[in-house]
Amino acid sequence: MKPHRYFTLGLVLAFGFPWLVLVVGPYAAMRSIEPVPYGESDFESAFAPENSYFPPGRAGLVAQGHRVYAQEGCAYCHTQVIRPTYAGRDRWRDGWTGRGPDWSGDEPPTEVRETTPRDYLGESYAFLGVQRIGPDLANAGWRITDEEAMHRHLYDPRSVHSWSVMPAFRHLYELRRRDGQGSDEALQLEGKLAPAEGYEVVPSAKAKALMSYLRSLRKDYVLPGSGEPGSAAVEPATSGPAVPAEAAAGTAVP
Amino acid sequence: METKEAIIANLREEHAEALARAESDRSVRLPVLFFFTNGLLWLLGSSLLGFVASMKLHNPDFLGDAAWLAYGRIHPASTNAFLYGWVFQAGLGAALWIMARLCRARLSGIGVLLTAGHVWNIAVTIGVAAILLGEGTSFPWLDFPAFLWPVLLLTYAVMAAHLLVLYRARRSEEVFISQYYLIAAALWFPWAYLTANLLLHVFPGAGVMSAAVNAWYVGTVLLLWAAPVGLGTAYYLIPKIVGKSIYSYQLALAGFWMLAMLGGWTGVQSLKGGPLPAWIPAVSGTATIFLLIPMIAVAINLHRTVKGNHHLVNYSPTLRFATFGAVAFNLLIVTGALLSLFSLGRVTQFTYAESAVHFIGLYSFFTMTLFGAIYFIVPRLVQCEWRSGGWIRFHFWFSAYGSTAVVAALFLAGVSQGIDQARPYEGFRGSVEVSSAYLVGRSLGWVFIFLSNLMFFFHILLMVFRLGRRSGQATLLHEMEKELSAHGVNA
Repeated sequence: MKPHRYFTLGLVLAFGFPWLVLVVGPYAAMRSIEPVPYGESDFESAFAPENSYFPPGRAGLVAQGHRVYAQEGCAYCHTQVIRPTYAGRDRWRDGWTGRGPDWSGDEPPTEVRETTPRDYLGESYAFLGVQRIGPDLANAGWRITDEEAMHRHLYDPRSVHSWSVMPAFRHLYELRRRDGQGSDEALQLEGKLAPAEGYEVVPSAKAKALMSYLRSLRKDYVLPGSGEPGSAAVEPATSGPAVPAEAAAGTAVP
Repeated sequence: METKEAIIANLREEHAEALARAESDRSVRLPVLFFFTNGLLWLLGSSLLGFVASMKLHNPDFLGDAAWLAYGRIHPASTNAFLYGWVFQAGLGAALWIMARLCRARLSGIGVLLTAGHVWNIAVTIGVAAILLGEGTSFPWLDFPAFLWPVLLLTYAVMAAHLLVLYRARRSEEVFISQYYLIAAALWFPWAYLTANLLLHVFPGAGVMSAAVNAWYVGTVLLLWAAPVGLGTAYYLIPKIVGKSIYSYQLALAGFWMLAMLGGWTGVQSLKGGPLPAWIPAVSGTATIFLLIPMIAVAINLHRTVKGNHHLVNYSPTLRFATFGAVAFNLLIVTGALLSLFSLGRVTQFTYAESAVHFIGLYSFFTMTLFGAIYFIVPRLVQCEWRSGGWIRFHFWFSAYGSTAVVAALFLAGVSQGIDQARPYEGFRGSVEVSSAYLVGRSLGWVFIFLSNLMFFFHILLMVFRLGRRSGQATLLHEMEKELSAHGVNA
């Protein structure tokens, strides 16, 4: 072989090996993972497909909201990762796992865990994110208790938190003439944000899709076969907490 | 004793050499100038976008709340304009010229190359506009809408093929280390780009692995495109200016193959602790740490080559920029290795510190080295010298100061943000406020970068229009005779 053949071969091998082992192999493997049914032995669960697969299917506007999330570049400031304890303290951040001493939102039913590959099954692209300029959104679904308030947050973040650096997504909302009593969806804007008399601000189709996506974000389902209570049963959303609520909330932390 | 005939034969040979050099220079003149000037225009544009993006993070209502100026759009627009507009074009321009020189080869038929260059620029323009208009994909460094990647891949292939044509037509037996680096980069990038785009756009649906492939692509562009092109350029320029050959050819080869074997594993460490099979980020992080070995090989080699001639950085703009770049390469690898550690990474992961590493790689190292190359190459293409040493000094100091300020601000902001976010049961406010002051510093850094590039763009435009100095003497940063006599040395 001529020297330049060795050179080319070297280039191909040096790059081809990691390409195959690190990229193509795991990608193909991850793509072929199927949703896992809960409790196959359970007669009832076999006939309740909407409750009995992990992860549960996503419906409606969620996929469109995923696209809006991409278009607006949300993933450049927000992650969707709860790291395990050895890699960070994400599970102890207020609200990131849906709990905390000052937490007033809904309680996730089980102890919120770190994220796993299966949580993102079926997403065309998992927006794990690159930076936390804003808070993690892995469990944002639990934090949004009032859609109208969340829309106001997106419309004008500084009116909710004066210190926020999030862009004001005014372009996702429409200013229109109020019709009769006005829309149920109209934002309750006050002060200088309030529209002129006879007008109202309502979320556009994009804003509604984004909201649908954000509300779908929760990584708290019991993993099938994990041995946790409920892991072999149906209806993960209503199964009891794996640990007493107090301990899970970590109130023992000084 | 040399005979008269031998001397004449020698002179003839030198003359033939000079003619061949001039011919190969002339054959690549148009495409190289095309890539440099277009690249610099993109650099200027992306500096402006980068400045606005930076302002938005401490002053979110800066320039109002127009949709196309929101951080989520202007930040990826700036990054992609910088990467595909400047980094690739500048790299290809320098690679073409160096390859033509080292191969003593001529490029015929530049029409195809120039056409590809035009298509590339149009595609990048459409891509950046699409991101600003809200059609981006939010795949880091692959933000252009899906229909553009085949165009970019094809035009890149055409441009890189010209490098291979030059290499195949080489007239010298010797193969230089720069050629290794440039050929390797030319071949690896389309492979990585094709893989990433096929997997993300054509075969989507792999959930977390899509993010991992994206992170791998970022690592690959950094270490298997920017690094080899930057190092190949430095390995050409530095010995040339110093007038010595490379200290150790064996060491250079060892460094090259180490980078080649490790670079393809890197990138995914940015997702350590993420919902991936844990071995993937672990392997990536390990490879990033092992990169310290080729870094040491390169550092020793370049340092030994310059040894005893360090004072030349006072005179040669090329050497000054290239030295800055070579030092920044070490910083890139060292900071990359540090952030790959779990101990430090748990604080710096997902903070500004990670973008500091990318900034070092693409700006402090790659861009500064390429500035050095442009200062070397352009006078040889347009037959006139740079207008003013003062302007070059301005360019150097504003770039050096600006990029260092950005890097320092990003690290400080990142670490303070990371420490705040590691506090249990605290709200998010602290991490925003604690990093805010550093981000003001970063915006200032961007102002310096923008001004320096504005000056440089103006300078290169004068050169392209042949308005440089008509002189046989290269423009130096300082007049050498004056300086030396001031120090009591007879020039």
